[in-house]
Amino acid sequence: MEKEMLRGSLELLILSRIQSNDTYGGKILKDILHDSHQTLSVSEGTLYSLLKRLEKRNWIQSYWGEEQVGARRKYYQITPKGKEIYQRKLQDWRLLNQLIEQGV
Amino acid sequence: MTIPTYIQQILSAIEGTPDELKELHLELTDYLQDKQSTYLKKGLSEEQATQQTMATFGDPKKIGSDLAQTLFPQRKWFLNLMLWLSILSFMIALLFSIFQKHPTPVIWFVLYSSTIFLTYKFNRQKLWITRHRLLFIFHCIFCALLTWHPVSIVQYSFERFGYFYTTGCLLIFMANILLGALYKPVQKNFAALPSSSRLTIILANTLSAFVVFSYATLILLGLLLFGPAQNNWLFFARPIVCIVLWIIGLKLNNALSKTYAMGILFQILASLIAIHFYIMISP
Repeated sequence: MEKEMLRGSLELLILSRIQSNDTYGGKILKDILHDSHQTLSVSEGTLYSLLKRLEKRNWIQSYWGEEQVGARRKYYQITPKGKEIYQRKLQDWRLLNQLIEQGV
Repeated sequence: MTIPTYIQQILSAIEGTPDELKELHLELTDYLQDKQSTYLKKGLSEEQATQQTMATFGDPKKIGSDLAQTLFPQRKWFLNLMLWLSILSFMIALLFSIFQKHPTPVIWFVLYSSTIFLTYKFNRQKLWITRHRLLFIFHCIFCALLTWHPVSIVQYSFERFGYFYTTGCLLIFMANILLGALYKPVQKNFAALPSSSRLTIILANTLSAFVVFSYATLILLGLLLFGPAQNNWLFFARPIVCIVLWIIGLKLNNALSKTYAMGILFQILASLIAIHFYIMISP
């Protein structure tokens, strides 16, 4: 997929993976890359930076998990502000998608 | 390259608090080791799995730079401004040496080049700022002092330019010192405070330090130039009292998050005493 096209949708993509369940950073990146079947032209590091950017903007927040086995993991959950932005972005994306489909 | 060195490369571009850096280190280690074990399970050798893990994660310098920009965007702007100002000072000295027959000693060019190089290195390796905060503060002060040189060359031709240039430089170099204290405080108690309280403390520390140390330097200069006054030990005890009060204030500001109001009161008291005695000695 083209980088230009991806740029505007990556935030929505990450929010979509967190909006229903809290999950740790590695799983978010892994799921996105796995589900895309390696078609996204974006590195894991870029996705990780983006995850941190969303946290900085207070769209998501993190907390340390209480793992009994292995290393502790940092989990992410969507904030009320993030939920609001996610819904707005999703609506915009659906509208755009609909317009393109009508044209096709 | 191993995974720990790869993580270190990413983190070297980031100016974070020790806690932030530790958390990033833990999270990145967990993710990269997890990824490496996935490749090992697929049948890759340890070396291949490590290389593949790092290749899919991306260029460590770019990721570090992206993370630095995300976590502390203001630093990059102000460091870039500091870098461009140092280059501009160098260019002014060079151009005036060539065209205005105002020769600048080679030592000045050496000083300019080293400050430009050091600012560039701080920009590329922001972790240095966290690790060597005091060196960074001295570097900023030194750069600010250096700007007096181009101003001294230019002021005969463009008087107003010199005034604005010095003020602008001083503000930018001060901003670089204060930004770290405000957004990336090293002390845990201080980091726990809301940013508005941090701003109040930093302003109180800076302004009171300016007043108290200006007064103390004036007395010290007087002592060096004119010698000690006869039978007037109180004259020299006053600045010491001001400095002691200021240090108590500073300690209270840093000790516990609840005592900072008391610390500010001590600093205000030290400043008022300094101003009072300064007015007394001024003609």
